[in-house]
Amino acid sequence: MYTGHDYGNRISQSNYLNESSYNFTNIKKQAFTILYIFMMVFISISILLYISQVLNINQSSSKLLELEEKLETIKSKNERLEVELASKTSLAEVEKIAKKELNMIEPDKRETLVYNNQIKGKEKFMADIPKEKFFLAQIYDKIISEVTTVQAESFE
Amino acid sequence: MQRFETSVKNRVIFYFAVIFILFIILALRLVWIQIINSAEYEHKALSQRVKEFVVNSERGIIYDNTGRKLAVSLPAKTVVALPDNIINPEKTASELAEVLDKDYNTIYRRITSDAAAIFLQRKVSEKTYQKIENKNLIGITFTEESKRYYPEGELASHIIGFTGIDNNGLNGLELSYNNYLGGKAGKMIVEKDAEGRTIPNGIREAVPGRDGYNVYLTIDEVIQYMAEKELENAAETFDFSGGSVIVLDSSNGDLLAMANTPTYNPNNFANYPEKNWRNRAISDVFEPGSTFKIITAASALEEGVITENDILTDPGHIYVENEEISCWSRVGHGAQTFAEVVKNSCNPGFVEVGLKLKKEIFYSYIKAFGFGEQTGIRLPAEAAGIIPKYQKIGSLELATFSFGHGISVTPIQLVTAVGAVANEGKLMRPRLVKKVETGSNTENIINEPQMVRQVISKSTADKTKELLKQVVESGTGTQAAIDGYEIGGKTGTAKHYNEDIYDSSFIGIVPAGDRDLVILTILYDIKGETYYGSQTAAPVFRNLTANILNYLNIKPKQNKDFNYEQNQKEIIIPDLIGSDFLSAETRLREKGFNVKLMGDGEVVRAQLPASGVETNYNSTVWLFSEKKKREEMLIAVPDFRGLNGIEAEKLADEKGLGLILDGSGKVVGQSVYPGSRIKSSKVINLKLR
Repeated sequence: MYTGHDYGNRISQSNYLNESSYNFTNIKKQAFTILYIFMMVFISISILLYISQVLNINQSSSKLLELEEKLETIKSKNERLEVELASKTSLAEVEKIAKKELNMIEPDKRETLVYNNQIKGKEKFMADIPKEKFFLAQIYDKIISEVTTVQAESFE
Repeated sequence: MQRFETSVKNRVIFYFAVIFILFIILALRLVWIQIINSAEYEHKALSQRVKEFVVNSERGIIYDNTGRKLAVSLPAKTVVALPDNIINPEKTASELAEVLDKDYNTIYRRITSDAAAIFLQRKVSEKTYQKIENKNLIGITFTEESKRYYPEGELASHIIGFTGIDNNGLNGLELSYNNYLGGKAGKMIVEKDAEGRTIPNGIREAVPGRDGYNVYLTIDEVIQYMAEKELENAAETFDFSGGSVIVLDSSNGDLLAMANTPTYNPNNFANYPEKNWRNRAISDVFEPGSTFKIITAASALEEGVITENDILTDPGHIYVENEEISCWSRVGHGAQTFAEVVKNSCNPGFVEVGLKLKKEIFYSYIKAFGFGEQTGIRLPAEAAGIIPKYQKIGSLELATFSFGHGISVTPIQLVTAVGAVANEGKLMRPRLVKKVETGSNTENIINEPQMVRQVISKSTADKTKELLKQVVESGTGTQAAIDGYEIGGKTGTAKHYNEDIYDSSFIGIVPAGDRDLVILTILYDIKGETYYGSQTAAPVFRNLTANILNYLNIKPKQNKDFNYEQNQKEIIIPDLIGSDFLSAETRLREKGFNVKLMGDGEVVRAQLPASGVETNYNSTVWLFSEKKKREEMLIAVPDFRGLNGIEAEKLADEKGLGLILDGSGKVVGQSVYPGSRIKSSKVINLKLR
């Protein structure tokens, strides 16, 4: 049967139960709040980061565009300089400078000197000398045999 | 009181209702714009931001043989006016008039016109652009275009040509290679903001165009410069209207230089008269004069109608169809071998040779050497030259052709024809473009050397070359000789009809290593006392050739200069009448004669000269299948005067003429006028005293 004590106990029990259930929801709520705040902060930071990245990209892109334009300008400037160089080094220009500034004149007559290395006969050596000792002499001989004709004046 | 409250409430409700309805309408409109009709507005917005540009393709570069750029494209600014943005048109016009090529009124009229944007001046120089830019004029802006630029200026201007304001070729290679040089324009779509700046990460799409192909020439910049320089020097010395120089590598038909005067600068071609633009080396025809004798000689030697040892006589003139054709030497060259005829550039000698060649054969050789048709060099306005129609050619025309008159050729035709003589008889197509570079993805277009035809045999070509060498060594071309080099060549002087104006030329074959160069110099319309090719064109040729040989590092030969040697041996002609053609020919050739067969029969019925005549080694003996043919053959009568009886008879025998001598001593008179052409059956009476 129902007794006052029991009732009191029951109440106290239910209170206890109630209190504990209250605490439990409280913690849950708190956790949710923290999570919520955390989420909010996270989202806000993400949004901020995203915006800053977008801005960064935009900035970089416009910088890239600027650089591309600069590159174009430099390229065309380079081309122009190359052409200018070509016209400055054209034969007509070279001749003009040679004649006007350096006072050079055209030759009246071209004289060709012929160096003939065929005349001297076979030389006889008294003793055999090892060839490798005369490496420089060999190179000298080679050059001489290549260049048999020397031109006194050359167009270039 | 209550009524008043009710009325306020009703009014509030009414206004709420109105505002609500308005909101509904707005909302519906918003739905209409944002959802139902969104595509249209999106498109409209996009088309406002997105701009479409034509990206001009860059025209190809023209390079010479050494890799120098002769024609390039550079970006250039075009001055654009935006009339709506211009605040003070008077001030703007006066400021622009100081810098641009246009006067104040023109500029003012343009910048106050109704157009949204107007070009004031296209492709201005960098300096002009900077000047206008520094003025910072409101409503004046710039757009970029591509401009053709020729860094070498006047060099090779006639070959390269020029382009118009829209970068289309108008002359020279720029015109004939326009399809290769000009590219295909591309397109670019870019998203821009209200101020016209490109939106980063916006829409950016490109339809790529194709740049023009680069063209590589056979022209050598240095040789071209030398050629132009020599023409310039000649202009200071002689009084002429213009000149042309062509340097050809005969082995492959490559043109190393092609120069003309008067010249022009393609960077501002409009400042020169049109005649300066003309590439006379390919567009103009001239009477080749004696230079054409090379063709006559080569054809006659190839056909076997003559050898270098055959005796020809020149009394100073020759009669063809009752017309007198004189030699440049009034007294004539007397009896001489064909080699000497070439050396002396003797007109009557060549007339005899030309007439011996016969019309159909000579005509076919003229055609085979490429005269009368374009060479196929692929330059605009190439002339074909003028050769009279076959039906209209008589003996007189044939006679004048043989020394280069009555026929008109272009310098390029003459060079390629003589190139065939230099190149073992092979006629090459003149080549100006070696390669067209089509980019990395496709194979380049290579223009290989092209042989048109074998015109004469190698032995004939070599023989002709030898004959030409003695012209320079000791004949009319000595002014062209250079010590240590075996140069063959021929001078040419052609007089204009009824005027004391001459076209003088020299064409030479210059050995340069394993190939021969053919160099032609022509001076047109020479006036004054010095007009002979030997006095004018030959020195120009010599100076140019000396420079070219030096540049190409062709060393002179150390041994003695070239000497043309003729076999002095004389041999007696055997009797061949009655024998068959084949054995007669074999017999003659074994003895050292050249043989020319006339007619289709099998048995020799007549011969010229007759048997028993002692004549030069390797001279020509004509064998006839019909006696009539021999009798009908016209023979030029030599000038017997001054010869004694024996000499006169020997000469008459060699020529195939019959003589009756009257008296003794030296010939003082002859019954037939020297230079007349008579049938061999006719006998000439000589009076000796």
